[in-house]
Amino acid sequence: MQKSLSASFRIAFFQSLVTRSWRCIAICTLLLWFIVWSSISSKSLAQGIPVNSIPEEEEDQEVAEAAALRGALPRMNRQQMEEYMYGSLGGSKAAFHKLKRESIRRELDRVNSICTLSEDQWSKLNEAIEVDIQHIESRITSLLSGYDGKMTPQMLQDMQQRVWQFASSLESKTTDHNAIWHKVLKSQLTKEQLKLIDFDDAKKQANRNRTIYLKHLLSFQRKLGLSSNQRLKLEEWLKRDDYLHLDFQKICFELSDSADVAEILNPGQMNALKESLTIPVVIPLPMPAPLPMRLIRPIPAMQVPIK
Amino acid sequence: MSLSCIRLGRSLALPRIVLPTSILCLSVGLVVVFLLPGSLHAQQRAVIGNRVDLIVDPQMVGILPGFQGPVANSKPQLLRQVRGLIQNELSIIYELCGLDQKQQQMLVDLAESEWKVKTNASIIKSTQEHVYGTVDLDGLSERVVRTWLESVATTDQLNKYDEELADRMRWRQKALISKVLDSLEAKLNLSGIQLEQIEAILNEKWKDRWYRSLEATFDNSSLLPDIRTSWISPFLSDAQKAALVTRDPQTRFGTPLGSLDFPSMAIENRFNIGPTKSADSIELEPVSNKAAKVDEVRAVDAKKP
Repeated sequence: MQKSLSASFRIAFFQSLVTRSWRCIAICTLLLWFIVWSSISSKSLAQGIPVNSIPEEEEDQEVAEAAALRGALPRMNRQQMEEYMYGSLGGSKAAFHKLKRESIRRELDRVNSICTLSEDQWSKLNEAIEVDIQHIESRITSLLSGYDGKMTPQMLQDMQQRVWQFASSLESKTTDHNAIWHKVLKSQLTKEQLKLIDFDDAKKQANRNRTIYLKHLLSFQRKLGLSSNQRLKLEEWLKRDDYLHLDFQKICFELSDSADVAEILNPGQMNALKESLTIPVVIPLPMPAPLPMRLIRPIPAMQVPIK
Repeated sequence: MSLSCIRLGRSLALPRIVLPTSILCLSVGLVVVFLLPGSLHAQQRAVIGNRVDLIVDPQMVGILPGFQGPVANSKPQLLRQVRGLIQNELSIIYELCGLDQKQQQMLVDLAESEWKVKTNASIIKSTQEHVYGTVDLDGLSERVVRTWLESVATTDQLNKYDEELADRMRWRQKALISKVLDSLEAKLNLSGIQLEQIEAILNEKWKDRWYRSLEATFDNSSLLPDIRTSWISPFLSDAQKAALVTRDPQTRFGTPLGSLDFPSMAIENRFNIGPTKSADSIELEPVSNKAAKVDEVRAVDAKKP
């Protein structure tokens, strides 16, 4: 069809050169429009694109990404970002200093209560605390150094991700073993003092472990209905280091195979334990929380109404 | 347009263009009438598809900031769990209390006929997500079974069961205090000696009502008991006292796996104490169709990738 149209166009065009008639020019224009339109429409239909749609440019993708990111991430300038960081670390720069000093002080109080620190040790530690706080501040500054308004959305996202990670790492750690003050403390303590600290750490760890195995024991109590003797005997099993790092389901697997545990539990309980492992567990999934509307990119308005 | 073309074609002596133009117009008409709406629908689908891609996969919800905590179990699931807990209590009574045949039959019949009435309110409450941890199904089944036992057993037999319950509470006390010490230690950097001192004072001040449930103890820090500052401050340094008065954001360690440690007993199975089963004359209440359907839908939803 396009071939015949092109031939018609050529004829009409040469005729218009001869006659110079406005009608010939008009028909040439019309034919040309038809050829272009038909080629576009055939290509568009093959691709499932509406004929009247504006072709997407490469820039559109970037604009869309930027819009999505603007919706998902707060638009902060460098100053706001710095305020946000210190806000998450205590409220303000001064509050961060105060809280950081206090948290280190609590740890040093613990050390002091176990093995009394000398004045010399205290003075060196106080200096180290200040250096440590300065070090954190310089890290924050270096993190924010590349922050400017010319960042691409991806760079902005990466930057905010790094900042949030750093802030959360500082929040979660009450005693950072890589901190300068901690290294100074370790270097200042004598061997005897270090032994006492290790002994105290072991006590604390024992309490954490006790929480873990008591949770497992109460779960077994619920699942199998244990008697007081069984609880005592099972506690010895659950205290073991092998089981402390396993979750409840894995411990059930381990215990169901053990002949020693079969002596602790009665046959009914052992069967119940094994049966519970063979039944496929349907885990109810939490309902998705409603996403804030700003995370959803708005649907662009249709340009042609649908019939 | 085709008429003008025909006229132009005649005037220009170009009849050959009339036919192609007419066919072209016809085809354009066909495209406009039939194909264009289809392609627009395709575009609409594509746009909606883009939006659907933005909806987060339910499997990933656990790591979303908006995660609200674990979903409550469905009612049929809770019914099976409570039956399992009651059956466990009956088995312990069989081992501990030495009931005779008649007492066993009376107890198991009581359990079969009354279990639903006695536990229904708590089960309904447990189906709501926001009460996670506040309903103690273990304690409920213990209290209910004790009431039944009281009506059929002698004082000695009842005392044996009471001793068993008291021993369990001691373990719960140990677990809860250990958890409280964990949270205080993380907040205040307590030393081993301080931990021992605070543990002693907490044991001294202990009240059974501090223990709410297994979930409240380990999954929801907001449900831990409030410890009075005056009890523990004598053992703390000034920096620790300052930290004690600051409030931490309370966290909820929500996990949907809470139901894994529950026993499960089907509604169709009868309660038993050793070889004694509940009387056949007691009708077993089937799960309502609606509740079973909800359970099925949840199970299917959970399996979806």
